[in-house]
Amino acid sequence: MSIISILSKIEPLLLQVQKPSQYIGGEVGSIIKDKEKVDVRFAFCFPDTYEIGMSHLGMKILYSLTNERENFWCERVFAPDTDFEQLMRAHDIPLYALESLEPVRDFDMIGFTLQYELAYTNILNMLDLARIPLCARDRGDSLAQMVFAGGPCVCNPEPIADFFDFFILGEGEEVNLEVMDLYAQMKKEGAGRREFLQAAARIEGVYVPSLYDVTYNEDGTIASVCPRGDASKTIRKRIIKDFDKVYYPETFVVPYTEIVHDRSVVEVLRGCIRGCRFCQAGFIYRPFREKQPDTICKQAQDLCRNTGYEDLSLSSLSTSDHSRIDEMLTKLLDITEEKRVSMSLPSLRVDNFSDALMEKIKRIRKSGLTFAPEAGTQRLRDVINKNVSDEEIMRAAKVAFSGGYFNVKLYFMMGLPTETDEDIAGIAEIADRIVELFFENPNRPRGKMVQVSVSVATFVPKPFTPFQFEPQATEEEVRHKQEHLVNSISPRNARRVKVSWHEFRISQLEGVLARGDRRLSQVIYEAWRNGSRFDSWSDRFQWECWEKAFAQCGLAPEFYASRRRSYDEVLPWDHLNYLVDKPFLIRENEKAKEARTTPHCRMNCSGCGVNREVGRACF
Amino acid sequence: MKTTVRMKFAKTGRAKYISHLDLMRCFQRCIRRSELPIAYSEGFHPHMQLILAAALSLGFESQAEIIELQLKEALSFEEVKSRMQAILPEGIEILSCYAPQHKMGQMGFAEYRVTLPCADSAALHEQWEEFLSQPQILVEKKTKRGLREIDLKAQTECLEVTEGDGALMLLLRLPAGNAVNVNPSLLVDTFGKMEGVSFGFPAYRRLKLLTEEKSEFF
Repeated sequence: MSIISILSKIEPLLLQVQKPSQYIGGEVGSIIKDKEKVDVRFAFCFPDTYEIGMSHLGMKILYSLTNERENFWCERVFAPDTDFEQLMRAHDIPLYALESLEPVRDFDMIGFTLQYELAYTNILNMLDLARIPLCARDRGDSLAQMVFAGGPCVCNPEPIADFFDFFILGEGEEVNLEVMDLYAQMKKEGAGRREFLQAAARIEGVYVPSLYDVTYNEDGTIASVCPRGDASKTIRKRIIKDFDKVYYPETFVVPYTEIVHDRSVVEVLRGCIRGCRFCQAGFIYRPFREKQPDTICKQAQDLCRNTGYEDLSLSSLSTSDHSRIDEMLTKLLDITEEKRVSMSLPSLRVDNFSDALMEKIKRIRKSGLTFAPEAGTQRLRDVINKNVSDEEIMRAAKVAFSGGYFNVKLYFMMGLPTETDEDIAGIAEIADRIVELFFENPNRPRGKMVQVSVSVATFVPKPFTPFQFEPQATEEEVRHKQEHLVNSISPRNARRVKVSWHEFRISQLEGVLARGDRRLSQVIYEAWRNGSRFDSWSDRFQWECWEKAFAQCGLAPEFYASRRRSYDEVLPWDHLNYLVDKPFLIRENEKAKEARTTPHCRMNCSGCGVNREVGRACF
Repeated sequence: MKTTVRMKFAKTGRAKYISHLDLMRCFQRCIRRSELPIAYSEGFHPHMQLILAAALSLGFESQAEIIELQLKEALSFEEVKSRMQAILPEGIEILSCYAPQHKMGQMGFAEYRVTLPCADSAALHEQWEEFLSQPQILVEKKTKRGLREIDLKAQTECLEVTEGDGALMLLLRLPAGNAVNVNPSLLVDTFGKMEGVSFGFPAYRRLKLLTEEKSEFF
């Protein structure tokens, strides 16, 4: 099918759907090549809508990186929204890529980025729309339509193992090109799928699930994961050693329609020194590496010039942990002010939120500030190793209020290990205390009402964290906690403190998929058949589809979500090496039970194992 | 020296799916990339001094769009045109660059070519003539002040009808001013509802913007 036929088929439909420009490509910065002159065509799929997928930094990096290579052509594919999906199905239009407007089915490699578990049914829907067999074992032995995935969820890819030929563990900047080179070579040689997968499995970071057999105990836990043939026992994630020198795009594809994060973004550091025990990102992205301020400035300048974006954002897990943040911000602000670019700084920590830093941000903009104390009492913050104190939170709020802010957003979790009603009441106390602080500020803006937004997520235990062994809170527990929180807010602040939380079932499903095993592939398949799509969107989420799917497969969500794992249980992801030792995670879990904290990596090495794997001290 | 520059541009192909607001943002970003010395407004939130005349409906092609820029310093029209063209996306092409001759408020009409795919263009032509020969074509039109009934017949000038191979082509002149503005799709949709009339997905292209006196708008 040629470009003419897809274009002529979608033209009469585009004006019937919301935001048609998301389905037509042709944006500034998108890359068009001659398909006859490339060796490998790569469809980079983001399993959510354009406005979300186009905001994802990893896709921007890998898109540009791949297209720098003359013999590869990387194109973008997103999940069509339901209105367009219906039209595509009614008019027999296969899923297509935005650059060539050609069917994804005609591509060599089809790669998904897995940023959150609740996008899994979207993957099946996209493969189905592309008319590619959903299960890897049904794809025959031809090389083409090699379906793979990367991204954070790949640290436990077992629930989706049936649908993928292989996974890429860790950072993609090097290994993606190695795998594509291998593909190009084997395509020339006329090799088949099995042969390719055998060879790809020898590349560090590549996990071919079909090369491993999983057996189960009678109680449903895993008995063993056995490699077939010469497949290695464990698969080690890839990391970029010299992060300052790693490839970074000089331009982005600039969309026409507004997307969630519509701005230039520079990644300032990767990894995190903090070791918060609930945070998967804090462990799976280790080791901590940062870019030099001059590198960051050059990349910011290039991006702003080449995209024409009027906003710049810095990306990291914790920007204020950059060792030279003052120098970096001073230099960046000089550039952005001259170029009329406004800068935003997400991910600041309250414990190093200084007056000097405040001064700098004040030059930036005045809207709202977001802090994440995560837990309501000092004891529970010690349990989760979120090393911030009540005083630090209050000091940061005070600095913010004296800086003229009047909106404060607070992120908490409920359902954390060892949590009691007292900890929940602590959340309300913090919110109440912050409202008081606002009124204690003599210079508060007149006529403005303080607004404290308290957003409470249900804690989801994740692989490769010290809490990977812990049960997730049950529905009854969560209901009780929510009620207790609302009742604990002082009635006179009822209008100043706004409380919101996530829907329990969505969090529970996230927990199931995060720590699940291979048997869940069937559940995901059935849920998709039952009509599940866009599960991370609370207005689209349909628990009934999943409930039915679990019943159809004879599996219980509670087995995966609310069961405590013993330390010697074989976990579905134990054969994947994310450089962090299991004994370290057990040590950290034990310390959590005693509410003992672990200092951050710069202060003291806690022996997680990363430095041994990397072959050097982190600091 | 602050100068005002107007540019006529075409919007074709994939670019026809860029909405008016998105096109505005696209131009702002392209101008930043061109590093043209664009003027900014005064005030707390300075914005680029840029006007897009006569919003074009989503899905329409055009060869007569107009954008106006205020520059902080005078540049040759040739330079402005080439620097803009160098960074614009596929489907947007600068046709000419010049000093404004008319006030924006003097815009009065626009000409459109409408292509109606059909099996028998002679038969459709007959139906079209019948449609237009009605004494009145009354339709409800959404305006800022709610629904209003207008007579399309009084507003429509059909300049030319061509029976093509597999399509009927209409050349229409319609009001496109501040006071009255008629979208050709309103006329075509009304025609499509007439008994026995059927045609494929219509394609629209704006050919000209005209003044109230129906001379070309510059």
